[in-house]
Amino acid sequence: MTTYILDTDIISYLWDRKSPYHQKIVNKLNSLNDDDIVGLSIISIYELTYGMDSFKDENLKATFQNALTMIKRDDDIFIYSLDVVSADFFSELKQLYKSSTGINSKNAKKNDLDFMIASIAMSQKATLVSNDKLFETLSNYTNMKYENWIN
Amino acid sequence: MTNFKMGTIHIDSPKAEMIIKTSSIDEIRTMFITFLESDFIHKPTKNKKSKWGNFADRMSGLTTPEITEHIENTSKEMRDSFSFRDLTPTN
Repeated sequence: MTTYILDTDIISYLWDRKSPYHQKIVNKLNSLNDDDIVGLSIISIYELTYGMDSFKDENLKATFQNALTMIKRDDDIFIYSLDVVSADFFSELKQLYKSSTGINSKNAKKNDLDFMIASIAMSQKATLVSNDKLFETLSNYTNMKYENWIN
Repeated sequence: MTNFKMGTIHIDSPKAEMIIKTSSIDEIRTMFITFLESDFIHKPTKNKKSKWGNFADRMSGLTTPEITEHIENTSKEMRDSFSFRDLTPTN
């Protein structure tokens, strides 16, 4: 049994049948076992909610809202929140990233949301699925499990 | 025992045609019964989808390329500009 946390970009490709990455995500989901667990981080829900609310086109906004409601209410999907365990991973990830890349504190602040998503995945012992290369980099420094389903 | 008048069966398969032409009527009858009694015709023609295949079906097509692009932009906006509050006194 494996737990997967799908990042925001993966959800957007799954929703959009015309995305060049859509079929790859569908194929991968089809290959999972029924006892595998699939979920989202609460950060993705925040991002998607802000994305939906900030849409100017009312028709597309309604379409977006429907998609968001569907995934939030889906019986099979878990939504993982920040917790006390993920706080330890957040600190570890941020410090390792800074020391490994030599990036200064000011620039490291830009990745705090990414560190939160990664720390949620680590606290759940989950595999983070994303097309963001930052997570691939983080997985090289730490024992964070990462997969890119569109490769 | 039931007797059927099958009429004429048109077969558009060279391989099946060859088997029928080279078999006796008893052999054809046995093949026909074996086929009908096999599980083959009772198996569903489509594979049953998995739990996550069904999930993919439920989610597919809910949005459009415009929404995908918008999500990419707003996610980037949130992730690239996110920072904790600076608590340094200003005065």
